[in-house]
Amino acid sequence: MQIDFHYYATYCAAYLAGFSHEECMEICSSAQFTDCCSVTLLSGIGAPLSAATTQLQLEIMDAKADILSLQNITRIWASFHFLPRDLSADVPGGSGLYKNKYRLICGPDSDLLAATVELAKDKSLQAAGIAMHVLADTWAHRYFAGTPSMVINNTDYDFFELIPEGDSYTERRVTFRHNPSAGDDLEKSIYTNTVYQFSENSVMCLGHGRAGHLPDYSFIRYRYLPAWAGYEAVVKDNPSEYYNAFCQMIYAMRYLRGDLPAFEKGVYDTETAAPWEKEIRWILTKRQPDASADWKALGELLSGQEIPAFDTAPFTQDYRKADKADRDETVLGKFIIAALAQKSMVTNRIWKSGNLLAGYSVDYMQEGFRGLRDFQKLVEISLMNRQK
Amino acid sequence: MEAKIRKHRHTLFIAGYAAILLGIWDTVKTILNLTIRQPLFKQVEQQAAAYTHEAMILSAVFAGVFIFILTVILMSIRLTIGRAAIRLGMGKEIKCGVMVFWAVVLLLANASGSVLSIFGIIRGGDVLDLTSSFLIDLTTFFMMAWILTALYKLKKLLVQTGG
Repeated sequence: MQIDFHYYATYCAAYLAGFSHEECMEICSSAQFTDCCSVTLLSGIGAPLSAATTQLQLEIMDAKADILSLQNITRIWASFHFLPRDLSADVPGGSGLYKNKYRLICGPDSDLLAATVELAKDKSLQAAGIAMHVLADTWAHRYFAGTPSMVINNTDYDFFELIPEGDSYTERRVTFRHNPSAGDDLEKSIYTNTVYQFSENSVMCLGHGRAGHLPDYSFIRYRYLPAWAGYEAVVKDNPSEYYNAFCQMIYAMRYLRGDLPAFEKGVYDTETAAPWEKEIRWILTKRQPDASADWKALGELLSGQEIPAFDTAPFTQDYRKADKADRDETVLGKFIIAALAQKSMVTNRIWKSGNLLAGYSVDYMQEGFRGLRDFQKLVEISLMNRQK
Repeated sequence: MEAKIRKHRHTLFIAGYAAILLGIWDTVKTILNLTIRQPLFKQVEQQAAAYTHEAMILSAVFAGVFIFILTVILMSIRLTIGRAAIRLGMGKEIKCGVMVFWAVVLLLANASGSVLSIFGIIRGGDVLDLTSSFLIDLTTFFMMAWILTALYKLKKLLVQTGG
């Protein structure tokens, strides 16, 4: 998903869940910041690099294809943008490596999603924001995996956009080209995607790169053949799925706020969203590359307050100015702790399922601290909480 | 069944491009053979040496035209097969009788070529040259077999589904 949903729509969902304007701003800012928190940004402010929740294009271009680099890429993208749906999925055939990649395919309503939301319970608003980003992306990035893999993430010429016409749809073939400067032509279904490289572990086949920006457009419906599906076609109806994502965010945030006793998979709070359903569906189906203006208008209508444009500066400035001992109490400090926790949890679950694509994971409480120093913070916090 | 239809269409699409690429190579190989390795010009020139200067020029022009026509024919056959396979792969309904005819011709021609290459090697011919010919002929043979098999299976499925 993009800023229109991660920032403005998350604000709307948070407000409908009962948070105040200020709380909504913290949540939606963190949700959007998950798409900005790269190693480049963190290294510029002296923050722990392991807290990176995304990778810039240039960072991905520089990434090598050795196993450690691939594991690093998978840790980031599978933890925050392509949460695996079923780590023990029954795979019809293929080698062990193929099965491991198949099991990283993203999808909504997974056990990992429930764990993500539970992880944010009684934590900071920044943790809630990260959880909402992860939740939203499970809907948008469905059917793709957060690891470079041609046999999972590739697409081909059999890719059709479904254009609504009365009660049915007409199919229009999607033309992909690699021309980032030209942009997407929504009227002619000409979209930019990553370059085809005949290499299984090419970063060009990371996530939904081979399908371009299509999964992140809320208005689009399309039919295509995923590489993993054995020539079975998959239909993606983004307007419906994004509405489900919105309602599920309301439900999750009501749980995080304490209104509900538990978070269950497959439950969406359509009741709370119902009074605004018409407006929301209108925004979701409107054919435009960025729905930020419309979502902003809805959010301001809901709360009666102005929603400022997203800016990373407040995150980084406070962190840089604060003393080292106080950094964990800043907005970015709390975001970093939440990001480390999320990455640690997902990596651990993937590793425990017997899948080494995200690397090794250490159970700190049982085996003592080992590995990346950045994660020692989580151990310290855990020990502090135990003492309380 | 829809998945199988897509699979065979996909095969035809890929094989169509491969047939065209192999065709380009085959054409280049023929031109190189006739102009450098066993120069047609030189043979014509030797035979025409007994005649007048004008006859020699005419012979050279004839040789050039012959090479050009042969090139066009060779490439046209491959393009016919390749383009038809690609269009079938894209889901278009076309008459494929001509494509099937030329695919069978190429299949048999390259099968014969492969066998002749093996005999040539056994008889002590240029191993490197004959081996590379054998490999190319074998590849083309399998390419045509692949196209014909995919086409047959696709047609069968389309009849079953009423498509």
